[in-house]
Amino acid sequence: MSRQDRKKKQKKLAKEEARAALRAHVPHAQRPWRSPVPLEPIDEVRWRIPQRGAMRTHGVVYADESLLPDLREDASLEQVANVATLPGIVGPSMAMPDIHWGYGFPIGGVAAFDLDEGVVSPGGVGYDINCGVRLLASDVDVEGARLESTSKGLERTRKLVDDLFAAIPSGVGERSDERIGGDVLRGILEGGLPFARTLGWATDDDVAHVEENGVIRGARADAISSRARMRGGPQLGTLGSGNHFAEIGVVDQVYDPEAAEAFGLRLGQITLMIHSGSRGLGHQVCVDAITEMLRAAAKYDIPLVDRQLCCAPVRSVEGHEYLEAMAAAANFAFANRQLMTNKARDVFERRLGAELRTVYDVCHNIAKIEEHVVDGAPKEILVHRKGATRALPKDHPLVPEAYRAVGQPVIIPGDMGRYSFVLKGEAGSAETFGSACHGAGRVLSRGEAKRRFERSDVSKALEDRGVIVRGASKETIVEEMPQAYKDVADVVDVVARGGIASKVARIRPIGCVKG
Amino acid sequence: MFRFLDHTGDFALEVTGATPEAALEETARALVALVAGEAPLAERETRPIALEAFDGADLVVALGNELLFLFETERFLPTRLVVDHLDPDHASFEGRLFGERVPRDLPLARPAKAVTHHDATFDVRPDQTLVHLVIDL
Repeated sequence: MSRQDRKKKQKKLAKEEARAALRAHVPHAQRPWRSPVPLEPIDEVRWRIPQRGAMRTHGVVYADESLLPDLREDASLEQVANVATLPGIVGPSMAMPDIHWGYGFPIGGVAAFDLDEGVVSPGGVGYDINCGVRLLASDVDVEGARLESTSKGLERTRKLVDDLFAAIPSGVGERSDERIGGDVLRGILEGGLPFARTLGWATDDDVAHVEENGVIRGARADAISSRARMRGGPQLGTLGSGNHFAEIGVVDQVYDPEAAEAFGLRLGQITLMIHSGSRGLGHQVCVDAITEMLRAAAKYDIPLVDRQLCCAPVRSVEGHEYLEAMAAAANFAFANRQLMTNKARDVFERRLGAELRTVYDVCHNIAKIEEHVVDGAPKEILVHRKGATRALPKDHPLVPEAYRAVGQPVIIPGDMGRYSFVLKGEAGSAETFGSACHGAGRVLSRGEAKRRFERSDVSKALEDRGVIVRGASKETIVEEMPQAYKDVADVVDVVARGGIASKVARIRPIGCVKG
Repeated sequence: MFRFLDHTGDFALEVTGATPEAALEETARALVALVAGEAPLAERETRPIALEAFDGADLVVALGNELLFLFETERFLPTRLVVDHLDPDHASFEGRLFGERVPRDLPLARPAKAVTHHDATFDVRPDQTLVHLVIDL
């Protein structure tokens, strides 16, 4: 054997030994509960999952009797219990009423961690970092825009939807027509929406009405791998796929006239809601981070009941680097929704002669260091929201000035056939570390949806209801049909009864571009 | 052999192979079927693939994410994977992907963001190897 071959062999052996050593030391913990997971009633909208085994705290699920049967059908409650096993968790492991089976954390999961004793978990944020929703209000109403559900109105809506579909690239891996240089990308990653404003992409008004003013502090562009840049860089300004959408709606109910007025919402008004995130860039940041966090879990001896819950101490190098990369991906997502806003503004101007104003833009896949009251005293903690929306009450300093007298807008999209809601944060959200639900929550798997319906049936049924839909992928429309989701009114009702957020307005869809 | 399983939020996949190598190859086929559906694909190019992971479960997750990366960055979709060498600990392999770069307007079945580690298994048994994956859509 030559010297070179010997060296090669030694190197290979060393690698194998390192891998074997790592495998031997990735600590594994038994899942505390297997379905059916017991739920003890706390009150009519709160249920406790008892602490046992590796759990460090109990679980709290927000739901009422009508939502419980669906919850018991999958492993989502097990996942609430699994999250409770993570070190340094503050308060209970929580699930909002749109909870459904995810990977690692449940979708609808909220968990906060102590900055000194706790961990950060990429699985608690998800692959689509800063997936979120922006609500835009137009200055025209449905009658003025002649989009009412007459045959002529439907045709006008169809043209509007077609134009949006053409203007906003959608579908997996779809790229933007815009080419941005490395310096601009770096600026976006580190500076988010305020940087986009310097390029003329956003207005002061846009920036003022976005969660965290469109920038998660502490972002570092160099914490993002070249693979993440390659994958996601060209996708800035694109919708993506799956449950992402751009939806034209009409305000059809106002429950809280004072808050609606503050948010600039009124009956009959045309709106646009954009649901998207950080695209392939965020997905790759999470993929990269999970590899690192598996190593970190071994290094810091953190027992895992599910590898997707891999994590590192918040104060560790690995934790810090993930938070830097996550913040950069989150900033990319803010800019992404802004660029789509601009494209939609062009379409609305051209088709309807209408302007679109940003009502608010919320993150629902994020981990942020926030101040909340813990054991009676204010404390900074790391709040993971995996499919949950921040919901701050009135007078909170982080609520935009224009809304501070009523509370933060909480945007809760429903399915594409029924309605969505605009809520406002209430004082009761203190118990959820300022968090509410983020949507309707699925009840049917995609496979089950396809077995029950054909694409053409879904499109026709929606059109009969006055909703024009265009989709980028062959399967998405049927997989995303309204019956695949809970009735978002039931979900919103639970957070309202729980005092977490209250209803301001309801929006009925009339046109939807699906990813 | 593979089949898609119901999962409320996402998509799950179960693969069976006569050997660990065959299970990896079949996993690649299943993931491409998930994304591309029945879109016609041809073998126009071959490219090497080499991945390292902690163990078999981690390796099969890494394979899935590599295929999604190649698709999103280059629109490359393989018709098949050939595993030339799989380490005895199933933590790394070398192989070749045969496939093509598909045009942007090719209608695809379904999006996929990532292959997750949740319930990921690479269960090597004397007579077959079983793979289970959950895919974030």
